Amino acid sequence: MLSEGKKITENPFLQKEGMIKPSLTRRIILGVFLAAFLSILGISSAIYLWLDELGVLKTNKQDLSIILDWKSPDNSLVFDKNGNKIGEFFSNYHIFVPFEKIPPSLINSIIAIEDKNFWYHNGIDIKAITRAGLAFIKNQGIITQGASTITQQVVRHFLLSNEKSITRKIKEISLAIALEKYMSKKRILEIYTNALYLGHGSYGVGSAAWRYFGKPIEKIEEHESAILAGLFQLPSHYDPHKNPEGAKERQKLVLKSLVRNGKISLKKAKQLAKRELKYKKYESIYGKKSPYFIDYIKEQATKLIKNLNSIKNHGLRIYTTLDPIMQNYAENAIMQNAHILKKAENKTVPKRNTSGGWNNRRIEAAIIVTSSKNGNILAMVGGRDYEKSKFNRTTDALRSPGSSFKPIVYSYALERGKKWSDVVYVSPVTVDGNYRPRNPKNEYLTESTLQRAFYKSMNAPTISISEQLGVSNIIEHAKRLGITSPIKNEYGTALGSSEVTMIEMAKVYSTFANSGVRVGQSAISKITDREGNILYQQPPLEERSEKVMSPQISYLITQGMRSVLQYGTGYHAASLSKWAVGKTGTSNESKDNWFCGYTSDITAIVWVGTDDYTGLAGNMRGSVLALPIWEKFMHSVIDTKEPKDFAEPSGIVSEIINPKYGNKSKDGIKMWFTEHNVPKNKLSPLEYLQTSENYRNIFSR
Amino acid sequence: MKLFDSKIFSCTFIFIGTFSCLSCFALTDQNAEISNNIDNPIYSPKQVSKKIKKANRNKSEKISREHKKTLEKRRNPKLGITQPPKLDQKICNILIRKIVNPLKKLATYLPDPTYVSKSEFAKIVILTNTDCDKHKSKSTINLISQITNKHTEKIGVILPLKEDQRKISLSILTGLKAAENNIYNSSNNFTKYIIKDSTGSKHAILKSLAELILIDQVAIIIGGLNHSEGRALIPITNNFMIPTLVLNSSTELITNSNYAFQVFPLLELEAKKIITSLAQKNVKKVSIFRPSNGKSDTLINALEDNIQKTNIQITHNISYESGDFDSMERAVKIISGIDYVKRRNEYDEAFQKAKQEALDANQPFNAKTVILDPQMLADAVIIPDHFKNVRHFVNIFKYHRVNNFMLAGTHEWRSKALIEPWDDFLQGSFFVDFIGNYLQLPKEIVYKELKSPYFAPANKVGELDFALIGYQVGDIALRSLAYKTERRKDYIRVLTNLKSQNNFYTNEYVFNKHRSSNWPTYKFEINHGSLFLLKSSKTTIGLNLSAPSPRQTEIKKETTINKNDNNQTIKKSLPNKRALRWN
Repeated sequence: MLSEGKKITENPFLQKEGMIKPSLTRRIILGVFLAAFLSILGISSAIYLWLDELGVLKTNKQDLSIILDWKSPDNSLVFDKNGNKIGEFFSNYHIFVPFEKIPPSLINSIIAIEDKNFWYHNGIDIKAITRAGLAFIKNQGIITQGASTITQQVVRHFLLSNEKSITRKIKEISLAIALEKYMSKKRILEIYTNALYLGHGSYGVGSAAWRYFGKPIEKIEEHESAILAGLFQLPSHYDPHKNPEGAKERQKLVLKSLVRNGKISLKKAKQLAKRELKYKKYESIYGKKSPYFIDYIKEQATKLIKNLNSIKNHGLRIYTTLDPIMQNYAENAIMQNAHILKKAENKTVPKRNTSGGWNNRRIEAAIIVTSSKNGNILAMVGGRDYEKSKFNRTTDALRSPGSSFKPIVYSYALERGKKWSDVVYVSPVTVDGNYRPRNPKNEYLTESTLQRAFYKSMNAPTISISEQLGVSNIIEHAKRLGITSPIKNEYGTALGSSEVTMIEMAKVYSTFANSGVRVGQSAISKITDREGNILYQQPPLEERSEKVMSPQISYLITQGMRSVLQYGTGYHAASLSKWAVGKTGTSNESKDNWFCGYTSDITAIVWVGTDDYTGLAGNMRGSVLALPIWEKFMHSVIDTKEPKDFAEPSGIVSEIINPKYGNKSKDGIKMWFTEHNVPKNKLSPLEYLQTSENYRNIFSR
Repeated sequence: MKLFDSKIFSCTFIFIGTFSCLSCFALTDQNAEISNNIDNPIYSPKQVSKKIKKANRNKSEKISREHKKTLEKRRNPKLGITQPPKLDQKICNILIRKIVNPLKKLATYLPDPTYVSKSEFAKIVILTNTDCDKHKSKSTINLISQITNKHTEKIGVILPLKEDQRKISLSILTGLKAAENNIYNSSNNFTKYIIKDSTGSKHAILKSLAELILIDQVAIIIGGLNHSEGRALIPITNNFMIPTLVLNSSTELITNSNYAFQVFPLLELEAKKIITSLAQKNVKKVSIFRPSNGKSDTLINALEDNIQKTNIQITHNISYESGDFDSMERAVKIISGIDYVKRRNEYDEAFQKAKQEALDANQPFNAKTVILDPQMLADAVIIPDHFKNVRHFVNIFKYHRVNNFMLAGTHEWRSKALIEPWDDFLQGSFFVDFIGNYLQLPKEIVYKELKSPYFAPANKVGELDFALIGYQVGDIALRSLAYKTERRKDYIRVLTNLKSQNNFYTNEYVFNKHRSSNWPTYKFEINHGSLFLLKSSKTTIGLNLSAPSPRQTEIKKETTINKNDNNQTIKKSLPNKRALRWN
């Protein structure tokens, strides 16, 4: 020390010649000050270095970009053709609510309970920090109180972890202060109220309002606002569904805060506390309305908006073609025929259940309805119960169409110059060496016009026609009409052995209904973002349309299918034949049972069968299982609005023709022909033979 | 013209007519054989001459034998006849029995039974056996012959004009009228015909017949459309020696009459044509599908008879029920050799093979796809049934994977529905018919709308068939009448020697030795959705398919049809007397 003192005295700044030497006390004091100064300097340097190390000192706008650029994740919504929401896609349940739409009571509640000085501080609340600091010291370094402002919480939510440490706190403070510089209080509050998790899968007050109270945020009342405001601290804990008591306590706390903040009177607070809370159990709209259709929309929208990996949470607004009335009719049609399907289940081969017993196999049913004019999908019921099976049979099930494929064969035959009155000898046939399609034996050794063979759904004549026309040509024709699934190049195809989807059949039948113009099917008319910017627009009808068959041939096949209802396998629905036409279809062993038909406006395809391709015993056919559903649906449609008859194109004539022998006959049925291919014979040798039982038998006299 | 004043001829004629039909036929057959042989080029003229002499000798011997028998009878003391009656007496008695008595009976069917007593027939209805005494017999014979042979140069037509057969009769009348218009080049309706209705019962037939014979005294009678009618008609016309043209396919009807001629297509001819055609196609084995309703039994019997003369073998004759799938399929399976019992091993082998293939291909095995291949047991099958069943048979054949097989059929096949819609299976099959090109039929019976040479509307086909028959029978009758014979029975000769016109018949003459018309048979080949009418072939493959007429020679002296005669008279010379001396 002496030497040091000596040195001090030797310091030119401290010792002048002739000056009195400082006293020891003075030197000590000076030394202390110097040491303190140096310590502070060192500490400050250390803090500076530490803060610098934390990055707090370098906080800039870029660090806050996540918050500054934040856009609320929003559910993608699906609307029916009338603009009513029928579904939504999300991974987290978001409903964005602009600040202006948040009820003031809710804002007051949130501020009261979370950050009463929100409107006044610059990101941090010093008093709250001090209070929290004292508690920290008091509790020997353990953080027991939070002092986070709403701004801090926002910062923490987006930029920091939930770790409780000084370091994170300092960062939080720093960022909060910075955020306040770049963002308005309203915007901070808007983000806060929309982005934070509020329990039960919901993010933000908008979705929480739906989840807990089943109503939009605009309709939330003051006492409910207190509940929602209370959720921010511990959403899972205060979840009203899980812990209503806890939620209630929290509500009271919020109300007290409001009183303390002078937002409401104590009296009102008490009144609000007493009000009953009506929680509504959240039921997802998903799976309730048109679930198969919604699934299909998700799939289609994903294809259409290719730059999105998922359409969830992108706030898409998907406007679909679904007609809720048609959908309702379609669902009802299946539901009201449940007893028929139940009976059919008894006709299946039972399968062994887990307990060793036997269960009947489930009979499934599906229906798809499209607009014949523009290809829009109006209704889609992919199965009897979405909860039991989400498999969409209208779009994803490849099934044998059976005789419902025959209109494709016959339309090609008509195109190639055959006419409905052409006569065929009905006998069993063997084609391709050993293929022998089944045919009712009582039809053998009879004669029939093509139309009668068609409406009675005879197999042998269809095969004979296919032999004449060539299977490969028929396949090409089927593709032109709208079949996209691979079709087997074999005679069985003419009888519907090649598997197709219901939606493909809808396209084929719509082409018939639409005067031979095939229209691309569509379930989505428009997709926008939440600001209304159009991301996808259904192409104009002309761009989706292609003429693949003459209106005349379409009309002929339509009239042929009318006779299916009038005289043939669809006779059960004969009353509909004024407006509608169609064709039954049954695959081998009744594994698939179809009815495909249309009016001038809509096309409806019904399928009934088992998912595991189990056959049905007994008299199960398309006319027994699928037709009643189709009939019910069509009756509902026609009762609502009677459709126009099919427009008769030019160059078409009708004649009354004997359905068995193809000659003109007043006792016959109406058949249609192109004007250059009209039967002229008034008498058929076959008819004459049938009636006279004597053909040139001059020798037996 | 001294054709019928020869006593010898008259006696011989009456003798034969009144003795047994058997002997008559024997003679006819002999002459027919002679005539046949004349027509047949395998005999030289010398041989023909010898045969004629031999036939005449045989004839004389036969007459002599009959005469001896008569004498022996007369010597029988039980009869109490000591003096043998002369031939004239005998003939006279026969005429009383065969003509006079029936005449009396026939007269009862007239609306006015007293009519006969007021007419010329009154002279003969009073005759009895006493008028056949020694000195009276000749004059009685002459009286009977004179009165019963009188005729009005009219043609009597007996047809069922009511009820369900009316349509057929009208078709025949259409043909008759057409024939008249054609020959007389006029549009007068039925000036030469007297038409009577036979609908109902035998009584109706006999009534019509009585009117035609006793009142109208027609020269020729046309009738017998139904078998029952023929049986009622022909014995009477035979008794009265009235030339009768029978409109029936049953040869049995004309067998017992010397005066009945059959103008109708014959199933036997169709059968022969089928056999000939099969032989030409080198068919060795043939099967027959026989409709169980028996409608084709006659044809099938004729087929069986004729096929024996060829080297064609009938492998199966399978009956089936029309319209019954199982029955028809059975027939097809039999001749296709599809017998799952006999070919069990083959089937098992095919079954296992198919199963293995399905397994290898990871495909479900369908036992129904295992089918025995056909093994045809015949080269062709004859289906004497209508086109509809033929088409169904075609489909059943194809069902059993027989894709090419010759079918043969009859006129019942002829319909557009046979080939429309076209089926390749029918390629090379054929059928025969008694009508050829429709457009070559007499224009008077062909409808204006008829455009196709092969097909007529179904409801017109039958009408055309009968109209053609009517036309031909009318043509035959009218052309015969043109010879204007005084005595009715002389038309027998005219008919026998009547020549075919426009080459319609298969022979130069209209009738063959059995007095059946030589109706033609046509063969139609089915080829690529069309019919092809093949010209008639003379090939006989060992069969004598031609039907020669019984004449030795025929010399037509003059034929003049004066169609411009306003009186519509036709002058024709009768065939040469010498040429007609065949009996």
